[in-house]
Amino acid sequence: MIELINIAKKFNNQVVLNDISLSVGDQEIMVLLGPSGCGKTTQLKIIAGLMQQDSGKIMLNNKVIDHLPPQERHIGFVFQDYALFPHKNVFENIAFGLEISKLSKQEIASKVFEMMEILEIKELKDQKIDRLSGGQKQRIALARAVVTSPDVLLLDEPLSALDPILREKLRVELKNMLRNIGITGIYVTHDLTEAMIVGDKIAIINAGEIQQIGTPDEVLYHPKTEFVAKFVGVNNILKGQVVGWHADQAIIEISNGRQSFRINTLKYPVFERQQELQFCINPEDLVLSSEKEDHSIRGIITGLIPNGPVIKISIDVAGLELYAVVTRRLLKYQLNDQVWVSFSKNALYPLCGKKYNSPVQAVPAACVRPLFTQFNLPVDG
Amino acid sequence: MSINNYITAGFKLSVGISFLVFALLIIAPLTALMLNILADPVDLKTLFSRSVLDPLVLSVLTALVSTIISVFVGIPLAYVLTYKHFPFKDTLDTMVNLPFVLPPSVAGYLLLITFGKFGLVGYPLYNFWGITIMFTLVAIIIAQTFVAFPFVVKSVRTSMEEIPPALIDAAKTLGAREFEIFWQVILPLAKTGMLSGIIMAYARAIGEFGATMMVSGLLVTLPVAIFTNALGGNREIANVLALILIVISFTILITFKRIAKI
Repeated sequence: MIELINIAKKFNNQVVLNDISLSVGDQEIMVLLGPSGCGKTTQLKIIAGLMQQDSGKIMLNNKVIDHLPPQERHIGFVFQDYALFPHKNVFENIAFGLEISKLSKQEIASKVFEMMEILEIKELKDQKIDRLSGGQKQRIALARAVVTSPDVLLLDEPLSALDPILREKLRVELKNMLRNIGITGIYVTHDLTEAMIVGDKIAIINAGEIQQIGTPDEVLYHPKTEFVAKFVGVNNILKGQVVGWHADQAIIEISNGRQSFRINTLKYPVFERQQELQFCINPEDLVLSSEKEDHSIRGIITGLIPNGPVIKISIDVAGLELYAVVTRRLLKYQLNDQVWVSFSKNALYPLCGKKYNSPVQAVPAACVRPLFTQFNLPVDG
Repeated sequence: MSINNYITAGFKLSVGISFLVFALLIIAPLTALMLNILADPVDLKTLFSRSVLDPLVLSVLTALVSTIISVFVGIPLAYVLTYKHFPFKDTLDTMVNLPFVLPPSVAGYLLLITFGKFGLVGYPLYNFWGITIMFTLVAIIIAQTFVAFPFVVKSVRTSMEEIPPALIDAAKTLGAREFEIFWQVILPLAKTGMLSGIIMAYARAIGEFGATMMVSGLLVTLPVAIFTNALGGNREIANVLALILIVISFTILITFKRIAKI
């Protein structure tokens, strides 16, 4: 288990990491997800001892390791461009750490071959590094980092140097390999899909601050800040007011100041102390129809934005811009078409606006979706 | 004629002038040497005379020793200048490069006032242990090392700077200490720079004239022998020695180019 407690770092008076706290349990993979330059790699370097933090402490298995040099931390590191030694062959690269720890030749060979077996790279034993493909290099780098049995493995964008097809294939493979090895890991990426596949938990970082930590589903369906919501693709962030609740359901009025519409959702604890809030609706929770249905709201299509196999549709609903997604095949609308918009059950949820701060401060409970039985209420149209 | 035609013609003219200057500076002197040798052929006796062999052997051997010393001085200096941060690093860097720009006579003079009998280092050496450095083989080696070691530093440093820092970080996270990183990662990866540095240092050492002339006394290296024979009218020997030095330099440069391509 590794814990970062209130880690801060500045470069030339510019804050790079601000009060970072997180905790990664045994055999858990934590993904640090955020845009380039948000401080993800700096965090890894500080954990590995390659850089010193200005304040805060790092604990590995309940022991402070701040004073230890990288050589004594027992933390493996897979670098962004793999950092394989070009003058050594595959076997020598993987064996490097074992040779440094002065193991016998037999022990080294046995551990290296065992690792090669797990990662299915035995046939590459004598290959030179410059002869390897990107995917092979990634496996060698992983083997080299884990063969010494580190307590924690750090992976700095290990797939970013690969082409998109290979990257997609290796995401799942890498997750399986990490699971097979059974290691505690911290994985840095700026790719949401990669984070969703690899991570048991995801910490979303912006400008050196952790915005939210949660499981992939929590982050995707319960973003806590506007940044997280936008980063995970929730473009529908709306201001609304709780206009009433009864039993377990609440009615929210969404307004742009001139026009408004009402949506019902689950009653969240936060509604009892705060009536005016920001709300999110995931684009996939908007249902479009050409015909008016019960509780649907009229809208006009203002934009069709292709995004791979899906089309993102922007719709003017009561003067507010909402986004929906449909697959290319199911797209039957054109610009300026009139559509009727309805929402999946309980599509609306509040943004709490609280940043994640420390391992002891759990995800703000007020924003967590209540765990009681859901039922339908009529939606005001 | 359009402006573009004038530009093209001007460009061709400047290339032509460059070749003419090159021919005057390099091809003409080499041709002159060959013509001199043909006009005044060298007999085998002269070729294997002590006037030719002594300076040749002296230069080859002293340059070899100077190069070895340059390697031992240059590699640690290159390492420190590449990887360490300390006060006055820029000053040390400038001092290392000083022999590149210093006139050889100044270098010779500095060595005289340092290692001479009344010099800063020479005085105690002579007075306490009776050791004389000036006008001995050691003085020649010091003069050659003085001008040669910066080539090792520069070349090795360039190679070390090209090593991605992530490789060194990777070695650290795998448990390697500083000396292990130096031996197992940095030195093997700086191999090309080391080889080219060694070759350039040897070339500079064997061709060293100015400083050596001031500190070598009666000992005569190859460049000094060319100078004294040319001035003394022994054109036949000067021709042979010059040709030998040119062949050595040419071979060194070819080898250097091959290594640089590795």
